[in-house]
Amino acid sequence: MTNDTNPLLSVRGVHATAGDKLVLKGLDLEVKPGEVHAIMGPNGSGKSTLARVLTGNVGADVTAGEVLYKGQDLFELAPEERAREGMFLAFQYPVEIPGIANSTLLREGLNAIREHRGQPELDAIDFLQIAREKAAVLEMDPAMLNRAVNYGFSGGEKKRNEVLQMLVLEPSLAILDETDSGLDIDALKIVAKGVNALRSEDRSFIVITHYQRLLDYIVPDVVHVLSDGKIVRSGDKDLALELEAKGYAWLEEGANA
Amino acid sequence: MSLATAQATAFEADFERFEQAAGASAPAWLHDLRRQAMDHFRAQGIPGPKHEDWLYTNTTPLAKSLLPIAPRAVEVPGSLAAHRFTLGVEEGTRLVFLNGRYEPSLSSTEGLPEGVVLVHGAALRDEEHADLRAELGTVADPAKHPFAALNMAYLYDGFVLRVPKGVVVEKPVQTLFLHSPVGQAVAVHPRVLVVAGENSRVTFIERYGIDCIGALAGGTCFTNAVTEYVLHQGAHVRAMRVQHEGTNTYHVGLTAVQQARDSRFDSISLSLGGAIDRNETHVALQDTGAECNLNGLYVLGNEEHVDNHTVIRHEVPHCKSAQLYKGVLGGKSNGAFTGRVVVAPDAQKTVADQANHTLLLSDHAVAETRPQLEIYADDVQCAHGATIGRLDEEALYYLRSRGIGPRTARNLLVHAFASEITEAAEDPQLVEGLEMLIASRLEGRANRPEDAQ
Repeated sequence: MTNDTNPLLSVRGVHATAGDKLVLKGLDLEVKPGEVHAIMGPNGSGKSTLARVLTGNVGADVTAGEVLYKGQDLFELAPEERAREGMFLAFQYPVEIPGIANSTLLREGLNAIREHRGQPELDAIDFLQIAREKAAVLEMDPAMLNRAVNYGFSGGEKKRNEVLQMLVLEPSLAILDETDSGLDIDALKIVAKGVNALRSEDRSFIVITHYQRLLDYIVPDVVHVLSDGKIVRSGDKDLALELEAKGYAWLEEGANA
Repeated sequence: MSLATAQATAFEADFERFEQAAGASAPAWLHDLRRQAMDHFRAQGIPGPKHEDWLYTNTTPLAKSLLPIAPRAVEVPGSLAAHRFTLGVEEGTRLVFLNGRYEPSLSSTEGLPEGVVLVHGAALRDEEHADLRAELGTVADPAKHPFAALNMAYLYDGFVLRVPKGVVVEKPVQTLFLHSPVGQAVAVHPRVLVVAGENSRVTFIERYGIDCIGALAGGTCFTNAVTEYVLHQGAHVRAMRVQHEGTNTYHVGLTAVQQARDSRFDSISLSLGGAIDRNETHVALQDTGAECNLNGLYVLGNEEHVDNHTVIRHEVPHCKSAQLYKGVLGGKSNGAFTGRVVVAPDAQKTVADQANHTLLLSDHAVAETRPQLEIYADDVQCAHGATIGRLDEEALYYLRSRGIGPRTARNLLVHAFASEITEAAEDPQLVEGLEMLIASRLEGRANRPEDAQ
C-alpha cells in the first residue's frame, strides 16, 4: 500500500530475548495510519514476543534496535503510557483476575486514557452506556461486564472480551495476538465484525495469526511472514492464501535457498 | 509459669488500686469474680516464649504496656461527638465505649426488637445481675486463658446482649471500643457476652479504634478484649470484628464461641495493624449440625505484627467448619496464622476446611502459617492449604496495558485478593464499609474511625 503520511509505528532492527533465548533477530516493520498488517508465521517464530516488545516488554528484553511510535521512542514509555497513547494488545492468553469486575477494569482504563487526552472522567452511568453499546456490537450479554475479569470465561468468551476492551478503549494501534485461535466460525465472524467496526483512516491494526482463515473477514493491506525472528517475506493479501496452500515449510526452504 | 516477682508485685498493687478506686462501686458478686479471676491470672502468668500457642508473638512488650490498667475517665473529645461510627449501616443499636467506659452521649440503644435484653454501663455492675457471675467466663474459661483471666479481673464495663428464642434482629448491633490515650498509656479490658436463643438471628459488629487526638499525641494503648458467644439450637450469628487501633498499639482479643445443635456462626475478622495484634478465636461445636465459618483478613505495614490463632473443636459427629484467613503484608510486617482443628474420637462425618493465603507486598515482610490438625475420628473430611505469594506480574501487566497506572493496578489487585473476605459480609452496605476501611489502610491514612465514614 502506498501512503505518504508518516508511519504510526516504525520497528527497526529489533533483537529481543524471551527467557534466555534470542527470539527476534533484527525485525523491521512499518505501519502507517489506517493500515491493517497481518503477521503470520509458524509457532516459535517470534510473533508473541513482538507483541510483548511493542506493548510493554514484560517477558521480553530488547537487546538491539529501536521502535518509534507516533514519533516517540517507544521504549521510553511504560506499559500504561503506551496504552494512554493509544496502543492496545488483545492478549493471546487473557489473564483471569478474580475479584476485579470487567466494568472496573474498563472504566479505570478508559478514564486513565481520557485523562491523558484531556477529556473529562466518565461517571458510572455514562460509562455503562458506552460499555453496553460496545457489548451489543459483539453480541455479548451485558451481564459479562459485572463478572470478574476473564474469570471462569470460556476460551471464546475471553477472546470476545479482549475485543470488547478494544472497542471501549478505541486505540490508535491495536495488536491482536492470535485472537482467532480457539474460536469457532461464528465467534470468529463476530470478532471480525468488532475489528471492522473500528477500522478508520487514522487507526491501524497488527493482526497476528497462525491461520489464513481470519483474514477472510479482516482483510489486510499487508501480509508479513515472520520466521526465525525476522520478517522473511511481505506481500498483499494473496500471500496469506499462498501460505495456506503451501504451508510454512515451503517458505523456509525458499528463505534458506 | 509464674510472673517475675517484681512484675507480679506491680500487677497486684495495680489490681488493688483498681478494686478500691475505679472498680470500687461494684456488688459483692463482681468483687468475688474479679478476685477469683486474679487468682487464675496469677497461676498462669503471661505466656512466655516457650509456650507453644505463643510461638509467633513475643509477649514481653505486652507485659510492659499492661500498666496502668485501671480505666480512666476522659472527657469526650469534641471531634468524636460528630461521628457516627457506622460501618455503612446508619440505623440500629450502637454502643460506644471510651477508654473502657460506656459513653451514652455517643451511643444509641434504639432499634432493638422487643424481648432483646441489653445490659451495659453501670447496670453491668449491679446487684441485680448477680446471675452473670455464673455465666461470664463459661465459654472463655479464665482458668485456661491468662489474658481472659486478666480481662475478668478488671471487669468494669462492657455489655451483655440476649436475643430470645425466635427473634430476628434485622439491623446489626454495633459497638465501638475507642481509646483516647492523651498524654498517657491506657489499658482497657472490654467484655462482651452475646447469647443467641433458639432459632434467633443477629449480626454483631465490634470495632476497636483509637481517637485521632490520642493518635496524634502519640499515646499508646493496650486492649485486652474478650467476647463470648453462646449459640442455642438453630441460632445464626454473624460476627464482625474490626481492629484498627493503629500502628503503636497492643491488642489481645479472644473470641470464644459455644454452639448447640444446628447453630451457625459466621465471622469476619479484620486486622488493620498494630504493634502487636493477637487475635484468638475458639469455637466449640457441641452438638450435631453445628457449623462455623471463620474469615479473617489482615493488612499490615511498617513493623506491625498480627498473630491469628484459631482453635475449632469438633466434639460430636456431623458438624462443619471452614476457615479462610488472608494476609496482605507490606513493609517489615509479620503475619502469622495458626489454625488448630481438633476432631474428637466419635466426631464422625466431620467436615473441616482451612486455608491461609498471604500476599507479600515487600521483600522484608514475613508470613508464618501453621495448620494443626488433631484428628481422632476416622470418617472425616479435613483439608488445609496455605499459599504465600506476590502480586501476579502478568495480571499487573494486563491492567497496565489497559492504561491503568502501576499504583492503581496494585491496589486493584490487593482489593481483589481481599474481596473474598469482604464479600462474606453479604450485606452490600457492610461489604462497602469494610472495603473503605481497607482502602484507607492501603492508602496509608491513619486508622481513624472517621475514615470509615
